[in-house]
Amino acid sequence: MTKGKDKDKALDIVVCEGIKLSKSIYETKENRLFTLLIKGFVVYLLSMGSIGFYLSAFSTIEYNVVLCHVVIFIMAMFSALLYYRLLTENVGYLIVLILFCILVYKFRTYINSGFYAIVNTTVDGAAQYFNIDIQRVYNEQIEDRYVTVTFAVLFIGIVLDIFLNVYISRRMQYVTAIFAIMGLNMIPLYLINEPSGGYVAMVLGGMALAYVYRSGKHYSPQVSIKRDDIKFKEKGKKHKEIAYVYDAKAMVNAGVIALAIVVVMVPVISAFKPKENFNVGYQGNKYKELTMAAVSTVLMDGLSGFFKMSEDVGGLENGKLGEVSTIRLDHKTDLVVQLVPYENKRIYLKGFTGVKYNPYANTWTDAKGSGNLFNVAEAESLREYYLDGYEYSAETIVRINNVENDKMYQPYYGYEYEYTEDSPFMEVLTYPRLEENKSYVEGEYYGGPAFTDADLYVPPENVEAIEEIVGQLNYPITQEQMIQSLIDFYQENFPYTIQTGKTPYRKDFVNDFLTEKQKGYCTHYASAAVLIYRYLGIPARYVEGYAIDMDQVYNGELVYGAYFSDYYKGYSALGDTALLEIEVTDADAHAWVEVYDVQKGWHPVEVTPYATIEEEEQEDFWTMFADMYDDSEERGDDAISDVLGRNAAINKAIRNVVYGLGIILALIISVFLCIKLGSNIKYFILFCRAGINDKLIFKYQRICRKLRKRDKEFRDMLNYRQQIEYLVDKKQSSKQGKADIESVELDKEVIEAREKMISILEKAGFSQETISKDEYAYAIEWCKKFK
Amino acid sequence: MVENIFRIVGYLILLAINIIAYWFLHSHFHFIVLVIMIVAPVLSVLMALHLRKNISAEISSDALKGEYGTQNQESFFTVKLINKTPWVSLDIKLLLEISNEFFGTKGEVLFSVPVYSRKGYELKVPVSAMLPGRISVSLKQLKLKDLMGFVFLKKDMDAKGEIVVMPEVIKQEIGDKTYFETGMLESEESSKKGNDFSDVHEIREYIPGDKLMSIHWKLSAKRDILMVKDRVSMSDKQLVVLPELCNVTSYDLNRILITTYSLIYSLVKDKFNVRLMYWSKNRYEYEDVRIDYVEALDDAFSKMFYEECYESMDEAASRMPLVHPEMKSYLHVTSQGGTAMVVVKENC
Repeated sequence: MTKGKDKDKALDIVVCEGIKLSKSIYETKENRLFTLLIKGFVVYLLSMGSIGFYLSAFSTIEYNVVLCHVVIFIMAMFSALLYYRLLTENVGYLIVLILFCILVYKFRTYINSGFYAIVNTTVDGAAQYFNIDIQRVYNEQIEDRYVTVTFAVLFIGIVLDIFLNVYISRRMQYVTAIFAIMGLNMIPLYLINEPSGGYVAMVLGGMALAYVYRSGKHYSPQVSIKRDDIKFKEKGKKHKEIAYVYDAKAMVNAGVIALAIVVVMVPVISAFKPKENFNVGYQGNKYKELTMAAVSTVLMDGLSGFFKMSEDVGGLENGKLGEVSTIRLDHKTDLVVQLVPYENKRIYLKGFTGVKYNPYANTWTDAKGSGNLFNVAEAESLREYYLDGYEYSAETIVRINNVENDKMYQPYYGYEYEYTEDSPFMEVLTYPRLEENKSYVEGEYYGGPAFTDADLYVPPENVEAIEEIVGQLNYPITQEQMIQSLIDFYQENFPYTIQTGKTPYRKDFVNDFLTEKQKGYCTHYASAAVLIYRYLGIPARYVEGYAIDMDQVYNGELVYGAYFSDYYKGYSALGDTALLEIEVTDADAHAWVEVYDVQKGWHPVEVTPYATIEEEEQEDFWTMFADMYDDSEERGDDAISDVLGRNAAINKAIRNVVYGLGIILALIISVFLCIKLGSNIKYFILFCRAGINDKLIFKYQRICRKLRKRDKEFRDMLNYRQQIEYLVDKKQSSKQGKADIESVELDKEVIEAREKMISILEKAGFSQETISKDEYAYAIEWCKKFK
Repeated sequence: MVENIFRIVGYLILLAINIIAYWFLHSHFHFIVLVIMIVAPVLSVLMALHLRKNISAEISSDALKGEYGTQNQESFFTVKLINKTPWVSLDIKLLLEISNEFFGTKGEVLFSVPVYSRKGYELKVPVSAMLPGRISVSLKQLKLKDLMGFVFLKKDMDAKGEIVVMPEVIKQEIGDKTYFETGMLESEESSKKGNDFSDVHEIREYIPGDKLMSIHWKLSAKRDILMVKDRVSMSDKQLVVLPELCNVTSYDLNRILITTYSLIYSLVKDKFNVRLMYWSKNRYEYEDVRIDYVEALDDAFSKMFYEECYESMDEAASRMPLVHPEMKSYLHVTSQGGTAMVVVKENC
């Protein structure tokens, strides 16, 4: 192989004995300048096309179109011509960079303003599409958008010209170019803003030209080849060919055909299916809708919107509503609870009770004057029944350790609590209301009215939205029917999701939920339900805390040394059980409704639906995996989980993540195997197609590759002779038990065999002669010895 | 093939990405791209098929000077691809077989060229022949790549071009050697130098018109009748050159051809009449060509290059006594020890 200056030196090509192709074939010249201009045209189509694509999608942006086309065209041509010589490339790029920096510095205000104008226009479009109010507006220092946007377009166009030129002029890397220009152009498409047909044709024309030139493989001398005007060059490593380097006329011919196809097809397709009514009747992509919450959050809050974790309480913040776009759980333990299970019902640990709803401020507060927030009256009444020996009454001690903060949580219906020394647990003496317990709460324990006007207050701002929902309920009469009617309505119409998006600025949380989003998580359902129940005349309150499902209870750890009778007395629907320890995480954080009735007093009501959007949508995708991996027992548990709703979704999401990781791992392994297998298939194809000489060389080289991996010294052996001599010496040294292979003595037979092998390889590798089948067989046998 | 597969797989990946983007965004733009991505490969292959059907090839040859080429000098073959369609291919593989049919050597060269719309392409192939003979360039098959690079379509062709390459003249060798060394008889050499060592072919009675110088005065006196000496001048005789077309090694045959050509060329230039005789293995007899001028020499060699070579270095000479017993002697051009030599061979 020639090196340095001789690398590109042309030599005669020996065809056979007595005939050679004269090196004068390499002296044929081609119009290099013209081919560079063609590439410049491709760059222009891509860069101006992509800019026009974006801007035409937002029809409100105006700029000097003609000037931009002219300047970007000239710049594209100029940057392409820089590749005429190495010198022009190096010096030219330097000059362009300096000039560009000077111009950018001089007109930076215009460019900035124009850029912000484009961004603001985009944001306006997005706000319109998402129906949100975005306050984040970039300050345009110069108001004349026609001028500033023109500057910005010129700036972006020149940058694109230079960037794309590197990929197009040098290597025609259309894939990089496509991804580079289409990345940002996805924004208008995402917002269902279609560009004008002319720019679509420009972009597609540029892509088509780059693709066709790349397919032809004759578009440019590679970087390593001296940049001159030669027309032909010897190419190929294994199969040598004299190939033309580039041909301006052919490029023009092919380019015209490619452009003609695009230019004809774009209007024909548009006429057949106009963009104006392209999406008529289209329901939208559900996966796209899933991303819309995140995108709207970014638009409103930037990336910081993603990191709002709501103090690790599963999206609950003491009555603050609507500040969380998507609930993200850390699954760390918030509470450790020790209790004795007594019936198959969800256990609520109450932490916050909201009485007054503040519309547009989107908060719940415990209004002044509100009493009995911790249900003491109900507890005292139940205690009374227990002490009187009522059949279905009971007394139990629930132990709670808040490992997250000092906030107090207590179960229904805690009578008194106390801390014991040397224990982080708070012990709550509780009188639970079991399903069978039909006793009435004694009114005297309230020490006044059981509820106040505040428990029935509906803000006027919410009345309209509530009336609309109430009108859709199934004409409930009794309080029980009213409560159940709303639960059913939610279940049927308002799907559960943890990806709601934030409540838009200046919008009310409840109204937005009931009229716009119509989906959400527990706080949405509970807040709206409280106001609806109040509107229907039922005293109701908003409650936040933790909900412990029974599957969690059953999966809790047994507390050794604790006797059932020490912690539970009275009736138990489950019989004698045991004290269990349960770890409660932020995934168990929950909001629910507390309503008042004469018999039970204030008691919890679950209004959050159990089916979720994520579950339904992921079902299609994950069903097959769930079917494959879920055992029947787990499916049985899911039956409980379905009832318990939210936790099931979380569990499923975790499981899906695990499966997803497994699939990714499997894909990586598959790709690795494919690459490995692909090289073997390629070798096999080449081997089958090769002549007997090449077959031998292929096999030999394959063995050599393996030996090089194993043997460092073998890597230094450069030619057949060195390699074979080394292998023979090494084999003989191991036979003779000598460590130094240079001291090996070889028999005459071994030397003859070695020389024969070398001669066969040299004949197969370097000469025009074809080796015989016997020689091939001999060499293969020989190779096998060293495999 | 592998390259095509990679290309198709790459295209399918791009198509899949576009389908996903279309499915996700449902944009008019992606719909257009989708349709074009589906239609374009079909059009590309159809264009290539039409182009293959309508493409033809011709090969013509062109020596630097005159009709024949010269050894060690460039001769040009023009491979002309004729395309009657408006379609284009950016990559057509031409496997040209280049051979010296007299010496029986051949090799292949692969070219990659484009084909222009409606015009085709002209590829000028400069061939240098180090051995004289008949140099031919033939195109048996071409492979045509479609515009998008998915398929290579093969088409069988039957185009052939030929040029006869004459041996180079070694003037220096001829000039430095004596005529004797170049194979003349001593008498012939003397004659060339102006001395007339003519032989007396016949003595006969005087016929009016005979030159006075021809009268054999001595004999006429004895017989009392005018007798004349009928002389035959050496300059009236033709030199016969007999090269051995023996191709045991290309080197030897090359030297024989160069020597023969140079010798005859030189003799013809000096206005000798030369007869080129060689053994035709095809016709199983001697070919006998009279050469009076250089153009005839080229024509004779051109014809000779259609002959088949043989393997014995004495093939032509060994048959001469049987086929042409009347011939007394001739110049035998042969090779020995890697050196071409011209020897005067008595035909016996």
